[in-house]
Amino acid sequence: MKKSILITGVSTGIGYELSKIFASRGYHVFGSVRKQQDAEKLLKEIGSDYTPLIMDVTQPDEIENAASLVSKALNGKTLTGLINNAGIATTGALATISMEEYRYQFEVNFFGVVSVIKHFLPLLGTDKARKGIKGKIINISSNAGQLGFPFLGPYCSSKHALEGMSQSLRRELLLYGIDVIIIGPAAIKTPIWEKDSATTIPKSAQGTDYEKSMGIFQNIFRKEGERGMESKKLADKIFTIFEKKNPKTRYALASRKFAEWIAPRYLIPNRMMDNMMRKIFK
Amino acid sequence: MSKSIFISGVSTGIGYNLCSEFLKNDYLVYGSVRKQTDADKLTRDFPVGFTPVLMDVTQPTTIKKAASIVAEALNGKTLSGLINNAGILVSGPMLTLTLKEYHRQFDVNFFGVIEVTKQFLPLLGTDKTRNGKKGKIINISSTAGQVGAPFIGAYCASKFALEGMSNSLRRELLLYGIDVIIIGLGAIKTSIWEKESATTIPKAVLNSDYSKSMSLFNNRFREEGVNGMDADKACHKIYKIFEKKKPKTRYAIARRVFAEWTVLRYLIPNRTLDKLMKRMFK
Repeated sequence: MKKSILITGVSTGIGYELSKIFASRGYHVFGSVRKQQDAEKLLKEIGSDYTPLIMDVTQPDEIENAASLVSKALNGKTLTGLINNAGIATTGALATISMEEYRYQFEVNFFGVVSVIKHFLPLLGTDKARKGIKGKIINISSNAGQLGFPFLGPYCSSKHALEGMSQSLRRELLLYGIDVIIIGPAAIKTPIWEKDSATTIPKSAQGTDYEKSMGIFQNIFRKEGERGMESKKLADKIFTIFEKKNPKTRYALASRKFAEWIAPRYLIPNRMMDNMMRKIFK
Repeated sequence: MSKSIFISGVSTGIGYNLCSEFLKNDYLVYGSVRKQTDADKLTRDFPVGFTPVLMDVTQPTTIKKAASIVAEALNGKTLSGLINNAGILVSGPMLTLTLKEYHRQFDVNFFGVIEVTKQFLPLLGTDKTRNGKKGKIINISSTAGQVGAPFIGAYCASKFALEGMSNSLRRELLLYGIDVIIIGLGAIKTSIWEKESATTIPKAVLNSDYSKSMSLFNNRFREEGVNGMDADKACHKIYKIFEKKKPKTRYAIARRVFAEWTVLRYLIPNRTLDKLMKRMFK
């Protein structure tokens, strides 16, 4: 019986690499994209092991359609895995960013994930009529899911919310034997930064007290990105974690794990980090 | 020159006791409530130094109006403090909770805080024409801001988000010298639990596999609440923290800090706690 996985946001970056690796390791991959042309590109590369889903995580009816399509394909069996990967990064200072931008960040990175999980839980095994081993959920967070960076407040808080939700959900799903694992990547060589023009100073900050310091921070973020982990390598690691019999509840993945995760998360006190950042503010 | 503070959600609980504590220490207190009857009651309870302000954190126009009332009263001076206290608890497992309920939880506990903070930032000192010391922001979070418990996933996620946002914001506001402090409350008597009738099981849950386990968890939560810290004691601690010259960035406040915080947050591995919880799922 073939294993199956749903991966959201597979047009580029980690989602794209995840689709390729899962397909090459014998999984049938249901991968969501928002545009038909992205679906065709993946079909050409992966072939019959890939089923495209046209689904925007902010549109509940599109998620519902996708769930019924996957359900039909599974034909009474459980879905082996769900990887919530689709995400965007909204940058800007709280003082200047609009509520609409802040909320949209959460629509994609948080409410979108909740909505997808809700729709696919029966397929993963809360519907006890389904046959096969229970599914597993992987939520792609970030080191920003436990660290708060300036000018990335919307992104950081959306990933914090995702991590809190994942902890609660993992415990709720003990009843069904469905596991939930958080992946916290640090800098990745992926188009997310370019895609969301996260490295250009957003309109909301232009002409404000923050314009200069924000430019400095964005240069730092861009440099981090250039030194980041290749998405293919990251996807390989995530595949290995997915296949583990006794996984941890969270994995930090970084090309320079000490500098990007251990030091800022566990070693440098918040106030000391604040002082280092203060020097960047002009 | 009198010091001044704005506290949201003061009709009952922590908010009410915070008013009393700051008034005792000669602050001018502006406290927000949603109903005129609560405003009248508070005016009677606190005849000197207290100004009730009608405001609903989910209604931007009422927040703008509140900020303009306070701005007028301050007469060109800075506001010494803003305490984001207003909050609700939406409980239920993700499987049965609606997306609308998730939104409601975030509208109050997260987006409401952002909107209030945005509107009051100029009064706290991002408006450089104001005279006086820069203000300070205190965000009331919870143990649930760093520990994800089952059946209160939406609440946990909203508090995780609040903590992430607070860390980002604290760093952004280094430019202005406005500090942001997180207070992580453990169980408090007269808490959110009773007010939101959070210990009654929602109908959708009664018809689900979770009916029995959720009532076990709720009984546990209620017990914790009854044995929690007195609200006036917690508020005295918050006042002391507010007055500190060099505060930490986060304080855990609980009657039994070790059992309610240190153990859960730092000592028990996630998977071990999962196993302990699993026994409660029937």
